[in-house]
Amino acid sequence: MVTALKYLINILFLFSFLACTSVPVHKGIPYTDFPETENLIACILPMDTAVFRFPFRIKMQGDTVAIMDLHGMDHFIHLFHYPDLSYITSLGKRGDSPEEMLSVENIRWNGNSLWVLDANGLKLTRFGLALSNDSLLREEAVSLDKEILRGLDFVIYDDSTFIIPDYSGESRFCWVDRKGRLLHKMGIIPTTNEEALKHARPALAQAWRSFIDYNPRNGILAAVTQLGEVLEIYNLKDSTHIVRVGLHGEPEFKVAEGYGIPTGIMGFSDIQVTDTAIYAVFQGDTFEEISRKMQKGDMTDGGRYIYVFSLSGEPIKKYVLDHYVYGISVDELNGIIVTTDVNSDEPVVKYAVD
Amino acid sequence: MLFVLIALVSYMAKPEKAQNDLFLMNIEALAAGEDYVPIQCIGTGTVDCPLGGKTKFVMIGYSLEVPY
Repeated sequence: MVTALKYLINILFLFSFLACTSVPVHKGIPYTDFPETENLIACILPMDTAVFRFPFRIKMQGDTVAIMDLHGMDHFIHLFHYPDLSYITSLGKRGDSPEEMLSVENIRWNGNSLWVLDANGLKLTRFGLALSNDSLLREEAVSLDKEILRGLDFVIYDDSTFIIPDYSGESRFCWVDRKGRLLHKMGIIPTTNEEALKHARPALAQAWRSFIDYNPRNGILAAVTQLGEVLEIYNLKDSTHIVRVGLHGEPEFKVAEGYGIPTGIMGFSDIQVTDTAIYAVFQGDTFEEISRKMQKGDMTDGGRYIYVFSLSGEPIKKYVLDHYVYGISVDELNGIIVTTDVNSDEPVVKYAVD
Repeated sequence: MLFVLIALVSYMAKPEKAQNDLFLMNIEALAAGEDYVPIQCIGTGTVDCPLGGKTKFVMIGYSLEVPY
């Protein structure tokens, strides 16, 4: 009798719950597909020097291209002339002396200066380029505030301010001044996982590790998640915030030893905000698939898709590539996307787009 | 009707709280390192390895995994 009553109560509760409420699946607006899909064929740009272990990022500045090697043995960054890719020089020497780097997470041009983020060394370093004689000078080093927990990406907001994703889980971004001091924090991880928000924020923040880009011309700061499929758009001019969630949902993880251990899928690997759109490289393989492939000796890494969104987060187009790539540099004006393929000794791959 | 609804919610809340308590105990145990969980980082990649460096993926050991 008691059991039957419990069932009845459960059913009644379920009906009243469904009738009275609608529960959002995501905090963001879901997207399922792109209205247009285009296959792209690569043009491989040959290099006279094979120096890379993991060419993770590629950043263009005029006729100079900087390529960042995430696992570089001697140097993390190499400069080349573009488009012939003739070698100029290397910088960001690996090491633990004050002028060397323990790691490099990302690089950014600001005029003729190249900023380099060393997360393990807790510093941003600026190299001033004097290309007339192909030399490079380490001109400035900014030690980051200890309150900034493992800054894994950065953008240059203006001449005196950087924006760095926050991995404490307390917010989404840290605003940091030119001396490395934390100015303030903004945003919150847009997860639906309230339990993790309450009790496992550092692990949640690790799982929501994001790659970011900022375009000062339109004020768009965008972030994509390394796990899962979430795009966030902060319009810093009108203070609006848009979250778009793809079919793979938000990052999935387990907590072990206090760490957020990735499960689910590998999601995005790079992002660029241009004047008119947001470009993001997407992978989409599950970690089970990656593990299975590795066991068969297939070490291929990277994403075969470049997703294009409007500045308000509407899906516009999906490019399907014939290479697996990591970093992108989009030249919208000339209809070119230059990418890095970590699986090849000829890692610079160019695509012509509309 | 309101009274019935409140009674139902109270009735349903009790077992959920017990479940949450167990859930949180697991998290705290893991965070406190009371039960060692082996973590392995496999391959060279872009995922942050808890042991340091960047790896292709992270594997964790036996049962005390808290799925999210």
